[in-house]
Amino acid sequence: MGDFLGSLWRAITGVWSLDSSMAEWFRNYPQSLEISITIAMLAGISTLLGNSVVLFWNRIRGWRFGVSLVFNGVSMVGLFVVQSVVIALVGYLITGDRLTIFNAARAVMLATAPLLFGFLELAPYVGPGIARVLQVWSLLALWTIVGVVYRVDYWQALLITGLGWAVMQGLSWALAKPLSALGNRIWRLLSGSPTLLTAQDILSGHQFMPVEFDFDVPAVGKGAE
Amino acid sequence: MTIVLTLLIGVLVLVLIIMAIGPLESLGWWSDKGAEKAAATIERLREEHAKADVAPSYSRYVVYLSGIGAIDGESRPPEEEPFVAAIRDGVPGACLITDVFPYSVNNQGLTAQRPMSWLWKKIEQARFKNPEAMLAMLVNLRNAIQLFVSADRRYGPTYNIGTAQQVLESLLRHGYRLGSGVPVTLVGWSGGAQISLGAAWYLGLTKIPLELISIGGMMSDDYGLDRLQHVYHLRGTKDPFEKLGWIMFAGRWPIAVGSPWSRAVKDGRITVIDIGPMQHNVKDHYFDPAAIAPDGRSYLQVTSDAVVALLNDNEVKVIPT
Repeated sequence: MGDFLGSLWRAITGVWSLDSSMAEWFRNYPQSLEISITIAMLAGISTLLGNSVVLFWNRIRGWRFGVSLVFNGVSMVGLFVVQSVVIALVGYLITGDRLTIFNAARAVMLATAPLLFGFLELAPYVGPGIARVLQVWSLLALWTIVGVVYRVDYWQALLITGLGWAVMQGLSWALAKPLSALGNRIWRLLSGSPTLLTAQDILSGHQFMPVEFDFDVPAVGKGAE
Repeated sequence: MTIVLTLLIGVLVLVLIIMAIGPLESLGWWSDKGAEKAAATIERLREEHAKADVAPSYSRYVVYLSGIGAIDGESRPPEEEPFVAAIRDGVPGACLITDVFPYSVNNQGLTAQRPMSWLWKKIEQARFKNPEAMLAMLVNLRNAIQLFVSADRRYGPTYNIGTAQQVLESLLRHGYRLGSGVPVTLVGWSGGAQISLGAAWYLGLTKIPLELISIGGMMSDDYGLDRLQHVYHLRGTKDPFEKLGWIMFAGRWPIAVGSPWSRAVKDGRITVIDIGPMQHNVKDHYFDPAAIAPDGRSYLQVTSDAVVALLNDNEVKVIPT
């Protein structure tokens, strides 16, 4: 257990510092898949905490709060799988190397180590900026790891990572509508609430202000004078 | 060098972790009972609105929201007390309200029933003995985080409901009548200016005529600006925190076309007044009775004269710099 934790820490700090020699060590490490999965799970939980504000807005509590977090965690794993497939395909097209989905998943999940700080997105005002920095950091980590996995130079690794990122952006744009519809259905099931409340909805005051009432209307006594 | 860098990164991460915990109090309040409390407040306001034919006792209401050094509604840094007294004396026809704690959604002071109240009580005692006690910086840090919670587009909508309710309830306690058209001026010192802006959005729902006087205010481009008739921003030319506000809050940049701040500037609803060479705190600050201007007035008097002049619709007398 102590050895596993030590290796886990070595992998995490190696990714944080974008150390390619760590990636070399990691490639041959027997428990590398377990370490990748652990990092991705922790990163996922941290990121979900960072994004949990929407659950508070919608006043999701108790078991629904827990189930929503778990569902979001499963969604993130799904995202990692898709990203792994994309990296494996793009890598094959560029280098001709066939990378197994497990190896690609290992690389993608390892690169999520910067997202261990994902909970910092909760920090007021600077949080969204931190989230963007973490995304970029994670992408840089993937670039470093892809270079080691495919044994290619920095520019080819950049091409694979960049194209992989672009394909993911394209997919999320193309599938935005059906994914949103699916997300809304699952949201209704999980939260028991028909609509997803946003910050703008709260600002409108409709949550607590009856629509038929307007303070512009003179009060009864005053109007009767 | 590596140790120093590691320490610096560690401190930065620690501060960010403390910041990340900051919004949980107001989010938890909203999730737990905030929405019901807001609905109950509106219901009460409807009842109050029906009594609007009862004449209010004052021609103006002034709500003072303290800076980030406040511990509760009535426990402010001692340097602010003469300033509050000067407003009370300078605008006798107005009702001055000082019992709102701006850095809590339910007006719960730091020394009230809280898990860390023992710490805040100790700090309050230390500050009573020595106003410049280093430990008091913890109060500033805690409240500064709430300032950013109020300014954050994700957390502001729920946080500001809480503070707006506290302001409204205090106004009603002091005899304010909704629908009377009696103007309310929020006076926000430092972080209190941002809290005022945030609360103004919801206070505006009740159609109260609202103005804000900011003293060295750290303010964002809050939506509340859209519901303020006017903002008077008094600032010292040597105040670094006030300057920081212009940089930190991107919605106040001249290129932020369409932001609430830009809209207010375009409508002529923001007046910036340089009142003198004040700093934000420590010495030569807005409430410093020992710093004397060339015209013989203390900085404390210059600041209080300016606020009183605005409240009495008179011209502000500044220190030429």
